[in-house]
Amino acid sequence: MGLHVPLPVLLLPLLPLLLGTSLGPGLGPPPASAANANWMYLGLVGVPPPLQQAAPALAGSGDGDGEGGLEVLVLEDPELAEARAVCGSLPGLVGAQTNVCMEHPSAIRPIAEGARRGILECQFQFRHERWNCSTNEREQSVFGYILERGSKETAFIYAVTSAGVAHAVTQACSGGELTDCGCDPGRADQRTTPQGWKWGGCSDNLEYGLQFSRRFVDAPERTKANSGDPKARKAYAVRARMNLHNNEAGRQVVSSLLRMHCRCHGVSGSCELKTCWRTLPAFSEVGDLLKRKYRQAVQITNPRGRRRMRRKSKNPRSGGNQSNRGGRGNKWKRSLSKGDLVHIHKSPDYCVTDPSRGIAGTSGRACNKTGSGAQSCDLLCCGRGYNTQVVKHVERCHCKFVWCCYVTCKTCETVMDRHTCK
Amino acid sequence: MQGTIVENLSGRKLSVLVALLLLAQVACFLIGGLIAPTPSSAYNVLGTNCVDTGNNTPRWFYTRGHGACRNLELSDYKDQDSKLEMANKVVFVFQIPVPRENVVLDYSRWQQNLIGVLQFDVAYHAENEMDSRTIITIDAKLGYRNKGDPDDAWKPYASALEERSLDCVIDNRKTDYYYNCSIVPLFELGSLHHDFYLLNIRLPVDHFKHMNEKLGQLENMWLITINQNGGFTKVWVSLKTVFFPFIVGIMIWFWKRVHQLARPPALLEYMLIFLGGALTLLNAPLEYLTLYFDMPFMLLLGDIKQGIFYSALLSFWLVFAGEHMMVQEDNRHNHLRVYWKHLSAVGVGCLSLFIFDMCERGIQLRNPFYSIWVTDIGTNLALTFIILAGISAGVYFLFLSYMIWKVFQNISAKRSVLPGMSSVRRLHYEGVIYRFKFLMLATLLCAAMTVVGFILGQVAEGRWKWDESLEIEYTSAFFTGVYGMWNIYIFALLCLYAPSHKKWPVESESHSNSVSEEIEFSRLPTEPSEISSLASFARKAALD
Repeated sequence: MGLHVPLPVLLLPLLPLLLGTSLGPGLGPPPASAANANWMYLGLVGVPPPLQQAAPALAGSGDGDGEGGLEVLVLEDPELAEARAVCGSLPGLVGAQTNVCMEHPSAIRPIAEGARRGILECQFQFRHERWNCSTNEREQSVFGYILERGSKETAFIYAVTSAGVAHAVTQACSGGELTDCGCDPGRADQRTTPQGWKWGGCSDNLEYGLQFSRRFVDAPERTKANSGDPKARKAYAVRARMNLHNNEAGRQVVSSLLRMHCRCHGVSGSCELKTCWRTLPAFSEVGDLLKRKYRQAVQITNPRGRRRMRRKSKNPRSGGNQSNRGGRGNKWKRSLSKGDLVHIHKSPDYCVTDPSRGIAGTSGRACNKTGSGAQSCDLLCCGRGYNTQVVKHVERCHCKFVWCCYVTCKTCETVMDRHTCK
Repeated sequence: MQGTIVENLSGRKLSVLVALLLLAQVACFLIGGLIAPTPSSAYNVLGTNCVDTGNNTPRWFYTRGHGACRNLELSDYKDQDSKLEMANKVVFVFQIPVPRENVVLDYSRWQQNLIGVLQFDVAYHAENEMDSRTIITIDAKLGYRNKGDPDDAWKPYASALEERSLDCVIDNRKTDYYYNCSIVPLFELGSLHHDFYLLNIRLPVDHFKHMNEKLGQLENMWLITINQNGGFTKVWVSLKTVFFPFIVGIMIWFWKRVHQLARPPALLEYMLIFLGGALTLLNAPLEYLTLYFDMPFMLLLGDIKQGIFYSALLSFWLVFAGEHMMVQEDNRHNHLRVYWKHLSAVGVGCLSLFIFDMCERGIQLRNPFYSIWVTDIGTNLALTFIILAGISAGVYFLFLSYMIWKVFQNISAKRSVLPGMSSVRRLHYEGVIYRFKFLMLATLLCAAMTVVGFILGQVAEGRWKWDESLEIEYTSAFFTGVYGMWNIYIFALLCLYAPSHKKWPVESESHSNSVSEEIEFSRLPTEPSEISSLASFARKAALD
């Protein structure tokens, strides 16, 4: 399959189309990168407060360009103008996402928080691996080439950020920070608004969080590739399908980790009447489960003319020792489930520095001499060997917490060998 | 001869009546299932962390509206040393209800009651492991505001310094995983009279009293509010409003009929009217008053009304079985005294539940944050009363089963001699047996339906997680169905077990017919012509 054509090249001609659909302002191509700008960038830079945002936008000095029609719109509707001030110059959004932002300007903060949560969790989960989920602050694509590659790592990033948005939006709804959360998105009959609430109550905020994540995070993949080249269009479609699947898998993980609690409040407090609710898991739990799914990620292929994705019949990486048609034979027949992470390509070699692809390499990374996992010097340094330094390590130890904010610790000094990859 | 309506009613009329009642039953079930929403709904509210810059200031902290406080990220303070006083400055703020779809929601008085439950997200840290049971001290303040009031015009509703125990376990000891903590019941409001409520919670740290020292790394505090749904209340109250006049009407009719007889009312008739009265109490749609007055005692009142109804129903079954015993005992049977042993089981059970309820919901009238379950003594006390009630229930059912078993034994004994009796007496006995069996069947059916419905509800409750687009709102259907069922049951009892006057013209005939028997049973005390048929037959039975 000719999918090794770098996607950025394919997508660059689309950029004006994607960005210009409804709102031009602030969505210029990223200055220094070949990779696409991405909404996850919000997780790195956060959302500037709207007031500060509004001023430069009106002055036409934001980091983007094309703010021509803005002042006209400001006169139209102050609310719309405010939304525009927030959403207009956000980096990395595609048109459909800017539309969502315009509809729910206050949601952009939880979205950024969700992206941040996802990225931090990714970095935590991969802190010992060859690829350590490093981000590039100067690049609006955040992960650069890794995000374009279509490998297992791409799958993880998509899943964890999508889960992060669902998690953060749900929390923002519950805290009252986000006031436009739906009352009843699930039900068919539209009994929303206050009267509906007084009649039958509202649904869980999680439903809204998931739906919002679906609307916002999935938006870039739902834009059609308008490029003329059918091959490129197909490659784009396959990638879009992969991303959508992984986004959904991330959300699936959040809902699978919900805990249910119930309270009895019938006659005299008996369980004649019982009301139950669901609570969100800690995001680190979501990250852990996604990491497990990452290890079992499925390489897929998309045969011509088929709409459904399939497992690739030959999977040299994860299937190398399993494809002996032995006991594990039926594993291949298992169909792809909704919660699986999928990828198209193999992971690149993360050992060597490749600036053109944004791969940092592992030289200079601290490793564990005695360990056997991914952190071990043998694996992490890719056989190049390691340097050893003797360092004095000062850290806090024997800490005692009092809730909220009080910590007393002792300072412990240890002399230890620090190994870094060559 | 006179009996009750049920034995004199023709089969066709009876079947029409039963069909009508069944139709009403189905209607009740469907009203609950199709019109009413779920009985109650729960909302998770995430606490906003505000900072009290002063020292325990009495002012209110709120998160929306003019003068709102800003959220403080607790994790920002995690790594700073010596922020001891910070814990005493953090106020967890819950302003309910939380807006949806950009609409500021307010509570409606139709929503009746509000339960608040706290949940803690405590992150695991190896250096700061929490005990499996931690006593936490909660300083809670509940305020309210109404529509049209200024944003900061919060008025105090209740406040308390409460201790609660928090049971936290963790399976996966990883940093930043949350403990699986038990829910902490916080308050119960019997009336939802105001539009907005505000809860300010502090977790004060005091090293002298060792207050809250053992609490772990608290990341989030959640308040789960549970309120009855307005739609459910409306359907429920309408149901009551419909049943109320029907039951009152049939009671008046019943009592008139009893008084048309020359004899004083029999015990069973008293019991029936008592049962009707208890049901009327339950049916009285007092909820209308809550729309205008603040009535925090509604929860307690509801419990008491239910208790009275159950005790009336249980007593009625006992007396009914006893009155159909068909054994020789003189007039004593017409008195409640005979049943004191049996009834004391009902009495003790209901009384202990009443005391328990007074200790829980009664005290909650003074302090909504109170709960009997939080202290060990209270828990033991509550458990004592509940176990006592359970034992009484067991004893009651033993008594009842024994009595029913005896009645059936007598019935089978009578059956064997029935063919040899004169036709009139046979008819009488058959009447008694028929009445008894009819009620047994109806009662068993109702009880079985209640139990099956309840079990189905529990199963469905478990499936709640996956099956949300269920077309029939099962829980509501169960509640309206069961409520309707007992109303219909008692309606039918009052209707069918009222003395029949259709047969009055026949009475003289029956008297003349039984002349021959009177000779036969000359030893019988001459009875007033209109005693409750069952009592008279019971006496005759003894002689056979």
